[in-house]
Amino acid sequence: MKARIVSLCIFLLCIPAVCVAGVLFFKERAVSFAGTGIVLLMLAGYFYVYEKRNSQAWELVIVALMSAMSVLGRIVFAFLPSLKPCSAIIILTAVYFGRETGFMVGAFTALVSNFYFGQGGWTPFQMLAWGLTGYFAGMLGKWLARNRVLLLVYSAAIGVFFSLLMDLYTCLWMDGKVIFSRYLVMISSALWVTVSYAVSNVIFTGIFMQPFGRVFRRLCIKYGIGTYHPQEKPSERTELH
Amino acid sequence: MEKLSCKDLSFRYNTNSADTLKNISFSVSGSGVLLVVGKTGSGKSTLLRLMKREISPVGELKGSINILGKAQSELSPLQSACAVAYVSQNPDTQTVTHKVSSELSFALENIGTKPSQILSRVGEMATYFGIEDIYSKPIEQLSGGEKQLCCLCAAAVLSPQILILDEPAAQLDPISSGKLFSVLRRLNSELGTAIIIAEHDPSEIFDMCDSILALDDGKAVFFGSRESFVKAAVNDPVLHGYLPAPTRAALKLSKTVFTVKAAKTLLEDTFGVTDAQPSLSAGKPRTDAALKAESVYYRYDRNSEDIISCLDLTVYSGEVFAAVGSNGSGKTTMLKILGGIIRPWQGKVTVSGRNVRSYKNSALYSGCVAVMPQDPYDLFICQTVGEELDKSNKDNELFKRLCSELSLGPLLDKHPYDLSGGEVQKCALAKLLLTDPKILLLDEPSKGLDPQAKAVLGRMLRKLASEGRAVCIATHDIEFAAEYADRCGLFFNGCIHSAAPSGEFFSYNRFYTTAASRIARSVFPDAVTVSELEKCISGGERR
Amino acid sequence: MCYLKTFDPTVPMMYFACVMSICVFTSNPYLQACSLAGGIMLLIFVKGRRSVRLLIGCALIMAVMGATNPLFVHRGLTELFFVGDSPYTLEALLYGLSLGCSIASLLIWFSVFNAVISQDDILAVFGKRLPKTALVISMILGFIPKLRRKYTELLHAQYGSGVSRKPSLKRTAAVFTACLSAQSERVIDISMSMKARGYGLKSRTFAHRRRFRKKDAAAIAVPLALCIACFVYIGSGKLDYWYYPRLSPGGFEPAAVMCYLLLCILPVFFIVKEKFLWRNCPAKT
Repeated sequence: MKARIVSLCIFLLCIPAVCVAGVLFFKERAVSFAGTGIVLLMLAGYFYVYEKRNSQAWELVIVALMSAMSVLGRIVFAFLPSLKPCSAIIILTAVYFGRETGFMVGAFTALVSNFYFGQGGWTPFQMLAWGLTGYFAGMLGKWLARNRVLLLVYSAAIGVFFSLLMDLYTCLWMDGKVIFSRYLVMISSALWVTVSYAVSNVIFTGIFMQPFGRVFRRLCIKYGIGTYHPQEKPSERTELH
Repeated sequence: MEKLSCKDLSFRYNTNSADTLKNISFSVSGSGVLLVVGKTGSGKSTLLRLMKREISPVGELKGSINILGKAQSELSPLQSACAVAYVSQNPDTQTVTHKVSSELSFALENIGTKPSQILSRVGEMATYFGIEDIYSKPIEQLSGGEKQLCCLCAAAVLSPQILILDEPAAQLDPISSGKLFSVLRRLNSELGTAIIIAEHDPSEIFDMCDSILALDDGKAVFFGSRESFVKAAVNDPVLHGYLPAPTRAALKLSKTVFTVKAAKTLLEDTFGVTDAQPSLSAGKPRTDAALKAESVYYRYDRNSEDIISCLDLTVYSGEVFAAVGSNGSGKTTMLKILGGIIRPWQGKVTVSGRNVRSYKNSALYSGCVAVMPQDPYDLFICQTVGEELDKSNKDNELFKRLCSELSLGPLLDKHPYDLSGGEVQKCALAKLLLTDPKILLLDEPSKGLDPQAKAVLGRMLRKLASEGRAVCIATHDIEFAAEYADRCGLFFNGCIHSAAPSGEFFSYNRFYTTAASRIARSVFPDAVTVSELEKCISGGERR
Repeated sequence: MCYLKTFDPTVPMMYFACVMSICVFTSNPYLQACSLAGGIMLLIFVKGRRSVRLLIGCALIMAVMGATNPLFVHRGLTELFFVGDSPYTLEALLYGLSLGCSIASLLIWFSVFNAVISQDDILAVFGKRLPKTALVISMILGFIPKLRRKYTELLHAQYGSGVSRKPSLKRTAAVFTACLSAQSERVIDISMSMKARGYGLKSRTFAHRRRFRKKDAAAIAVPLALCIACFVYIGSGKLDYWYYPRLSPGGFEPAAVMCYLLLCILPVFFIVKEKFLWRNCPAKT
C-alpha cells in the first residue's frame, strides 16, 4: 500500500514536471518530449509497484512462461505475413490471471522480443501499449471469460487501439506534435496494418481461446493457482498429485 | 547427534481418503547417507518433500519431524531454508534463470546476501566443485548431466546441513551420474553433509550409503544399516531387486561385498582365473533387412559440424537392436533420420526395401515405421489419452486387443500429464502399435522407469520382436540393452561401431559394459547380465 | 570495443540517455548536425561495413521527410513553387529535413546502443534497482530456448504421426498449444524449486559482477556535465531556432554547440585510447 502511495505521489508530481520541462526546453517539440516522458514514467511507476509487491513464486513463473510463449509465437508464426499472436496470448493470460499479470506479460513481451528484434525508441511505447492491452483485458476478465463473442470483439477493438497508439507514436516523432491532417493520412496509409492487427487478434484469440482456457483451468483446478474460480480461494500452498 | 529424525510419521493428502505414508520412523545421524528405495508411487517423493518445509505437500500430517534437534515447525524460515537443500529429478524443471552464474547466485540473492559476498561464495563453490568451465554459459547449452550438477550446486550454495535428493540420476547416462555421485561423495566425506537420496537404481550409491529405508505402499518395510539390508534381502525378493550386481553375485557365495573390485577378487579366489575368451556366437548371414542406412551424413546447417557421419546400419526383422552410447552423442538424431523425420544431406535410408524419400505423404507412418520420441508425452497433444488413441485408431479389433493386453482401460479418460512415466510409456506404445508398424524406433525407452516398469517394457519389446517386427532402441542404459536386446552397437563419433550380438558385444567390451560382465570377465567370460552370473556361480566348479 | 566493456553498464546507458534526450527532441539544426555526425562516426567505428545499409536507409528517410513535409504544411514565406493551390515552401522543406534528421539520428543512435549494450548489461542495470524485474527477464530468457526446443520435439513427434510438413495455421497452432500445455505442467515444479531455495524469504538482492568504481563515476560525470550545460543553454533560449515564417537568423551559440559535439564524439576518445593501449601492450608480443 505504501509503495502504491509513494508511486502515485511521484507520478502525480512528475507528470506536470515533465510537461513543463518539455515546454521550457523544446518549444516546438514539447509534446513529443512530454509524451515520451509520461510513457516512461508510467512504466517506471508500474514496475516500482510490481517490485515492491510480494508475489508468489508461481506468479513469476506464469509471467515468465507466458511472455516467453508470446515471444515464441512471434517466431513460429513468422511464416504467416503480418499475423502476430502476441496480443491474443496477452489477452488470454490476462483474462485468466488478472490485470497485473496481464500488464507484466504485455510489457515483458515487448521488452524481451526487442532483445531479438532490436531495441528502439518504440520499445517503451510498445511496452505500454501491450501492457495496457493486458491490463484492460484483466479488468474485464470476469465478463470476457464468460462471453466468447465479447472476447473476440474486445480483441478486435484492442487491435485497432494498439495500431492507433503506435501511429500516434510515429506521428509524435515525425512532427513533434500531432498535426491532425497528417495523423489522418498516417492512419489511412496504415489502414492495412490496423486491419491486420485486428484480424490477427481475432483469429488467434479464436484459435487459442479454448485450448488455452483448458490449460489455464487445469492449472487452476489441479494446483489452485490463477483467478479463474473467484468463489474458490486459491490456496496458498500448491499441491501435487 | 541426529541431524534429522522422523517418528511415527503418517501423511494424508487432502484429496485422498487413504494415508499416503503410514507410521514411518527413521533417523539420519551426523554425516550419514540414507538411501530410500521403493517402487514408483510408494510415497518416496512425498516423504522427501515433507522433510523440506518450504515445499511440503498440503495435507494432514501426524507424527514428528525433528531437524537439527528442533521440531521442524520451530525452525525460523531462514534456518529452514538454509539447513535443508532439495534437488529433484528433472533438471529442466529446477533451473530458473538463463545462465549458470545467475542460477548459482539465485539462492543467496533470495536470502538477501550482499552482492560482494554472493560473488565470493559462488566463486568459491564453483572452484571447489570444478564447474568453472560451465560457469558463464547459458543453461540451455549444458548437457543433462551438467544441468543436474548446476542444480546440485545451486542448492548447495547455502551450505546446507542436510541434502535431499529425489532420484537425481534418473535422467542421466552412467557417466554423468557417476560425476554427480562423485560430487555427492565429496559433499558427504569432506564437508560432512548428511544426505537423503531416493534412487530407482541404487547400485552406484550403494557403497556410500550408511542406512537404507525401503518403502512399499507408504509403509516402511525395512529400515536399518546396509549390512542388515543385505541380510534381509536374502529372503525377500522385493528387497533383493535393489541390490547392486556385485552384492548379488557375492550373496550366492554367502558373502557381503559392495564393489566390483571386491566381488571380482572373491570370484577369482573361489573359482580360479580362466584364460578362456568369450565365445563367439555363430552369426548366420541374414537377408531380411527391415531398415538399412548407407553412408548417411547429417548436420543442422551447412556451416556446422556433421552430427551423423558415415553411418551404416542394418536392422533385421524380428530382432531388438540397441544403439548404446552416452547422452548428447547424436543417438536421437540418428533415430529421427532412420524414422524419416529429418532428412540427411547425404546417404540413403531404406525401409522395407524402399527409399524413405519415395514414400508419399504419411504412407511411411501407416503400417511401416513408428517412432517413439525421447519424451513419450510429446506424442499426446489431445486432452485425454483416449482421444489421442482414437486419432490413430483404424482397426477396432486391434484397439480392443491392445487395450486389454496393455490394460489401458482405466487410463483412457485421463489427461496424459496425469499419468506416471511407466503408464505414459505404455500408452505411447499403444498409440504407435495402432498403426501396426513393421519397424519400431524407440528413443531412451527405459529412461526414468523403476526396475519393475523396465522389466515390463523389456518383455513387451521382446514380444514385439517375436511377432516379426524390427525394434531399434537408442539407450544409455547398458544393463537394459544387455538384458533385452539381440544385437547391440556402440554409437560414437557420429556412427555405429562394432554392431554384434549383445552377449558378444558386452563380453568383448572392456570398459563400456555391464557391472556383471566386469565382475565375471576373468572367471565366467560369457556372463553378461546379473542373472546369468548368478546361474554361473550356482553351477560353477569351485577350486 | 573492449575498453567500453570495462565500464559499469550504467555508464554507456547513461551516456546514450544524455545524447538522445537532446538529439531527438531539439529542432536546432546545429545540434542535430552534431548528433548526426557523432552518431555516424560511432556507427562506422562500431559496426564497420555493416552500417552501410542503415545509413542509406536514413538518407532515404531524410529525403522523403524533407520532400513530403511541404505537402502537408504550407507555412513559410519563401515559396518555391505551387502544388495545386498550395505553396511549396523552402521553410517547410528544411523543417521536414530537420524532422528526418531527428528520426535518422534516433535510428543510428539506437543501432549503436544495440551494438554496444548486451542483454546482460541491461539485466545488470535493471538488476541493481529492480531485482525482481531482472529475475523475471532472466526467467523469460531461460524459457525461450526451452520452449523452442520443446516446440521442435513436438513438431517432430507430429511428423512421426504422419502430419503434413507444410506449415499451416492449424498445425502450428496445435503444436504451439501442446507446447504451452507441456510447459505449464512444469510451472509448479519450477516454483517449488524457487521456494526450496528460499524465494520470498527476504527482499531480493542482485549479484552484479562489478562495483561502481571511481573510473565509472568519472566516465559518467563528463557526459552528464556536458548534457546539463547543453540543457542550461537550451533553457536560456540562446539555442532557440524557428523555421516559420522565415528561418531564424540566430540559434547558433558556439559554446553550446561545442559542448554537444563533444558529448556526441566522447566515445571516440575511448576507442582511440583503446587502440593506443593495444599498440603499446606487451601482451601482443
